[in-house]
Amino acid sequence: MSTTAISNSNLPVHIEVKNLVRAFDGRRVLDNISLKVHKGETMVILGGSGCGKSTLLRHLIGSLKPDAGEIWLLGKEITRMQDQEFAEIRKKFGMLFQGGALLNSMSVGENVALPLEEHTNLSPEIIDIMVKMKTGMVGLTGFEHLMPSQISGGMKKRVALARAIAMDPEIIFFDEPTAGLDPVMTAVVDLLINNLCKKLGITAVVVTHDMASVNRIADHIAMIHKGKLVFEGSVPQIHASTDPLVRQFINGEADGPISFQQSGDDYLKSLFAST
Amino acid sequence: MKDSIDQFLLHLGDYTILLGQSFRCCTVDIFRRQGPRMAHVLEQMNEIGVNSMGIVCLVVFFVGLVIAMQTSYEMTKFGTEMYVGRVVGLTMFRELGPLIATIVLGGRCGAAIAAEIGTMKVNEEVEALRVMGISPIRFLVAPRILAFTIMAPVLAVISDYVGIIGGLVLAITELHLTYWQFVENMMSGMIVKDFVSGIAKSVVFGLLVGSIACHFGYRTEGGADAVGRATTMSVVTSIVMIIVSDAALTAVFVYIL
Amino acid sequence: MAYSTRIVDSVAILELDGEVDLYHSPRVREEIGKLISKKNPTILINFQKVSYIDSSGLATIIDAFQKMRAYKGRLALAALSKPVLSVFEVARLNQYFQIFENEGAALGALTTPKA
Ligand SMILES: Nc1ncnc2c1ncn2[C@@H]1O[C@H](COP(=O)(O)OP(=O)(O)O)[C@@H](O)[C@H]1O
Ligand SMILES: [Mg+2]
Repeated sequence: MSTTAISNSNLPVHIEVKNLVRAFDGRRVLDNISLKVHKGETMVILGGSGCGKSTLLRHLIGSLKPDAGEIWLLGKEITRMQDQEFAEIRKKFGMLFQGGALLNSMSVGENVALPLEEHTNLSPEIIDIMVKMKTGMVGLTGFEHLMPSQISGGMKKRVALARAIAMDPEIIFFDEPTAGLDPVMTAVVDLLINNLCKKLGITAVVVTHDMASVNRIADHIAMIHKGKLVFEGSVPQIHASTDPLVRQFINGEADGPISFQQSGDDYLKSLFAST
Repeated sequence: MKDSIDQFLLHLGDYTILLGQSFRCCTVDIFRRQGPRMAHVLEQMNEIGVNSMGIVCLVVFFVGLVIAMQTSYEMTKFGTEMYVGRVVGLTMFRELGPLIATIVLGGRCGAAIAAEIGTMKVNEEVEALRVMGISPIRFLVAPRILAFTIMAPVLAVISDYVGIIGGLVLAITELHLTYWQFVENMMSGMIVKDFVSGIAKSVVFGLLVGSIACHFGYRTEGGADAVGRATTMSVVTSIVMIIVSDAALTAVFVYIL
Repeated sequence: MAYSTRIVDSVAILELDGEVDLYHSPRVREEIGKLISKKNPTILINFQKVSYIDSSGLATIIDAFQKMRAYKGRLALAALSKPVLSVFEVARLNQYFQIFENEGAALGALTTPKA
């Protein structure tokens, strides 16, 4: 839908990450990451499994605290924020979890209604109308009474999307929204992300490793490898890139700088280490 | 050894925090309109109390019957079988009514709660709640602990009486006592403290079972195997803690109060 | 958020001022509810000073529309700014409601007796 990058830096910066560092057990999972996302932009974070994409998202939503660095959401620094202050920011963003994370004990409609019931004084009739609007936006009108166990994986993701937009957020974070979906459902979810975010002017951060999705939805791409930012730019730029890491990833090749196993020496060393 | 002590202390720390937050949610936060949702508490009370009543009654009826059989076996040798009412009544009220009821609750509802919260943890549902700005303590944990603490004494009272009925059935059919002989003998040796101490115990047991189940569910990390472990740990720990606290509370009621 | 209500040629005009969002929608619903409870045959909501509306605002207007339909009343909207109008368009509600450029145009259309 949008193959040209919005390099419109007049728009306010919605998300800014400055020199983020995070280590688990002494291993740097995020190593000096800096990013900027403008209002209304769709930023895709690209990278192989285990490179630290989900960890980065967890920092952005305030679930994890960094070892060093800053995170600015909607003009406020969140890593050193008090819980109460953060609660206000929290209402302005939505998150789509990898597995959807719908509450299994509640129906589709109740799941979508939940944030509204918890955070607003809207009457049940209004919430009911809003739930119908949101489920309609993700193409699931009439499914409100079903339980999450009764719907397919692709539908769960769409319900989760409806729930994420229930409060009309300014930012939505997506963790692998299309992982595990068939190509048609992948295209559907991508289309929804595009429609919702572009039409409603929502800022989006999408974590994925699917190049087809990237081409469809990205305004801006950041590629992470082993915790480091190795590329930042638009869709045409990533296709024009000559960086071997980037080339290997977008072409999906086994051979290249991204190794799929330990190097020969390490492998032998580990085999014979104990003897 | 050092590892298991570390583990134990870690659990104890987490558990204390969870209990503290839940307590706060059920007290202070109610006045800030941040208490647990009434509908959630009622739903849990129904699940824990009403739906467990059948199994509790079944188990405790036979326990009452067995106690009457065992004691009368010895008592008939001395011709004192008319005292069976007192024995059954006292053991039920002071000890077995609350104990059996809460152990059954731990096996039935405690396990279910640990598995439920554990699964929610593994499926990122708990994380999703937090991101939506909904406190999992308020939404999941507090209603369950509260429901347990309210329903345990209710079930204990029912359990007391059903156990006594078990004893009564034996007394009438085997010892040829009348209903009035049994009841009069039971009441003659009973003081209010016997009843109240049992109820007090059941409140503590209920709180323990509910909070232990939530604790193990809440700290589940990983996959389906972790949920299984959490469930087992919840049941084992609840039973151990019920018995240990029972010994402590009994000592208090017998020697101090 | 501020409100004012007046009646012009049997059309009840509700003028909103501010943002119709999750936190202000309940008040807006209350105001519209007052007009609806009097069974006003025609209600015009003036959006001149509304800078932002979200889906709770839309839901509030849909709710009013449904209630007025019960007594065959008419609901019209006027003077929607571009961002506000686009919110209606995304939800495809612009086809459902009578939307006028400004209050004058609305009054002109609403007060001329129907042929
Ligand atoms: N809580 C944690 N404790 C220890 N290591 C973690 C933790 N979370 C993530 N990691 C490690 O960080 C790395 C990046 O994980 P993640 O961000 O989930 O990767 P992905 O890019 O696939 O989403 C992985 O090697 C993972 O093992
Ligand atoms: Mg991941």
